[in-house]
Amino acid sequence: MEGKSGPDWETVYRENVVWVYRLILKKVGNPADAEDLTGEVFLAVLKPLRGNANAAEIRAYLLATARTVLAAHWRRLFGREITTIGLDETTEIPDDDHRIPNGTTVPATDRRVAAILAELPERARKVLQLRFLESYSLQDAADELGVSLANVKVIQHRALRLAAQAAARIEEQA
Amino acid sequence: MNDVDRFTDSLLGQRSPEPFRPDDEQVAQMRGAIELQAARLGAADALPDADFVARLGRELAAECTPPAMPLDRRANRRRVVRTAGIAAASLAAGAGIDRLVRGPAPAAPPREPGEWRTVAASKDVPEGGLREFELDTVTGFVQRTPDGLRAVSSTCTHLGCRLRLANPGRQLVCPCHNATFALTGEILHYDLPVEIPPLSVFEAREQDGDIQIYTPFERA
Repeated sequence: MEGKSGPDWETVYRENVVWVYRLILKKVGNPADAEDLTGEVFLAVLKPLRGNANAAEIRAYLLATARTVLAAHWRRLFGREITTIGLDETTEIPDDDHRIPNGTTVPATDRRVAAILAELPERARKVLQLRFLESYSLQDAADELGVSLANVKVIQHRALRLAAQAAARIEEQA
Repeated sequence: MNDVDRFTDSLLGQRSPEPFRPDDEQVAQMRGAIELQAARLGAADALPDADFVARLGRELAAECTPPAMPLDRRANRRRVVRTAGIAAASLAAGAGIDRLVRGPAPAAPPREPGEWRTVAASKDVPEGGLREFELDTVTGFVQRTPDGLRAVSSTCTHLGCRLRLANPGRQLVCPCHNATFALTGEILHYDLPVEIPPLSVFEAREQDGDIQIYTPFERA
């Protein structure tokens, strides 16, 4: 057993770390947790991975492990799952880190935000735009909209729920 | 400020959110916040912090190296990663049980410290019957077969997820990666690039109208 070496871990790691990080960041929405969970995924697959696993098998295994790790993360924090990684989740996550040269095209991510916001009623759209795209605090957003702080919170709650529904619809159509 | 507002602010501030117990409505709002923030961060083509990638790479390399240094020091190297407590504990528990009941001399295996614990009333498990049980240390299924009582762990030997009973066929299926086991503990199917062991089985007996299994753990 000892004589047969496992997979070349540096290669597995190098070829997959960006991909796993993106997969998880998309589901947790903050880099700190995305880093933690990416680490958990790699540590979990490190030992059990068979030496002769091919690239596709490794990907499938990383995806499955990321699902488990994400689910445990949510249960730890909130007692239930908030987002989940689908088994066909990989399609829209690009593999390499080639980036669009500055300003030539609108990144897909901005289009996604725009597509979600476009589905919302005026007020909901405005409050999310201020908060998520222009980094307004709740109070600043309230002032901008000419409503009370309590009121802007209510608008934001409703807007977030509508945004989740809109995102789900967009996903289905894709 | 309510919990969802705080959750949203932590995402906007790129911080890890604080725990709370959300209801359905709050979960829906949290999903919306994650969607928008992930989109804003360009999650699908974001690049992780270079220092993080280098640090995790070093830790993995250290984990891959045969243990030249003492184990407890190796454990300390896991700084990047939070311990994944429950799954790890379940797996460790599974290993312990396995050693206990699959010993080379089934007639009188040397017992690790443990105890008999009641998992069902005898009358609730008729001939051919099956019942799920849940103790604080182990979960599983107990079954009355023509050969006697049989008890098997329901903790998947892969990552420690809890197995579900799938009927028809009375197979135990893992919700995490679809590994499938028989009620004997035998592996029926899995599609993983790793080897996994069969499920642990427990000694079972009948005592004063109760069905008991022998577990190697003391009650919490």
